Amino acid sequence: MPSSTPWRLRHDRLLWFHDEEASLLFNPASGQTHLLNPSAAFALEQLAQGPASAGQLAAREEATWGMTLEILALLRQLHRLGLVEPA
Amino acid sequence: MRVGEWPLTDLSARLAGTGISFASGPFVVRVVNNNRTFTRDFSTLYAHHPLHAQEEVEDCHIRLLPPWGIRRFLRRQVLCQVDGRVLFHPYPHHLAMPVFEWGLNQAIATRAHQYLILHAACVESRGQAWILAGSSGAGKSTLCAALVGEGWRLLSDELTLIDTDSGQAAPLARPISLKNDAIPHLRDHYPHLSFGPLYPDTRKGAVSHVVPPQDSVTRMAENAMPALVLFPEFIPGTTPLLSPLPRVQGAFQVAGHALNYDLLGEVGFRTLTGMMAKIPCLTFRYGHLRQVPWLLAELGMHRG
Repeated sequence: MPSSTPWRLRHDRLLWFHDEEASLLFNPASGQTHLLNPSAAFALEQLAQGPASAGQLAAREEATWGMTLEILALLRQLHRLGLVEPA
Repeated sequence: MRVGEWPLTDLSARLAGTGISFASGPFVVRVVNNNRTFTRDFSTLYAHHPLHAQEEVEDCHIRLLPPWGIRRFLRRQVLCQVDGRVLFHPYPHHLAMPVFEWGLNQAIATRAHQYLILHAACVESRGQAWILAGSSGAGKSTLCAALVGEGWRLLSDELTLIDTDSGQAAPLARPISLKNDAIPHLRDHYPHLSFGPLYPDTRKGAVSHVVPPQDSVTRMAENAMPALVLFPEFIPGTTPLLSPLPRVQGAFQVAGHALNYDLLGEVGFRTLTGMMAKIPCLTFRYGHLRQVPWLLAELGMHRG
């Protein structure tokens, strides 16, 4: 899937619990709880504000954290978990 | 009337007939049995528990009975039946009390879903409830018994019940199950605690129970607000060490020790994170019961 493909949250009613190092995310649709690193939590919180492509997410992550990880691989993983989908 | 106030012959007759009904925190349990060893042990370990009238609502029926068929003539054994369903394979009849405890644990864990049920111990002092979580064998029952020995109120040993509405811990005030080396250590260090019989040959090794103190049983309708989650780890001979655990990591670990977290879904998540947002989570490595007062002093809970 190209990096220009927009992604969105699959369900918009996700429940969060944060601290400085990590986040817990509960997905009511699946009943699953996920332990997320800051990069994954950032990507999902960005998508909660509206669809975005991997390229856009990478740019925002770069602007916020000064670095970016493998956003496309992360989105694919979140897709497998049923948290995001192509818009 | 309390269990321990009944003469053994009367208790035995009642148990063998319609059974007796007693309260363990919010639960009312009916037990039927004609095993004399169980009657004696039950009278010791549940001595302070009040008996209930038969017409009251009961949450579960536990029947201890011999196996059916030819097996009963070959070896004296006991089966544990909860609400008509046999839970375990037969055990030697002298292990009826531990079998009853395991059966009651399972009965509560599989039906008390108005609570988030943690595989954890819980004790309280000065209005602060400490939840002692961790894997089997980590040392949580040992620490639980030690804190009770230090004068803390026992809420529960094996199962901690967190009310999903109030976030409070509900007591069960049941016996504390100790295993193997913890038994002589606790006996030596806290001789004022009352112990039940020693069962040297269970599948978990040697088991003995601490009798819930009378004050803990008397106050078993009194919930307490969690103030700390502690993950104890007993390593013989080690120096004591307290380490903070980040909230999210702590919540994730507590969820892993919750028996009905997945079943409760969103309610479970809200109950868990609502609790963990307000209280610290620590690991406690300890190597001797002498270090328990050190723990209390470090956390500002020493006797003053």
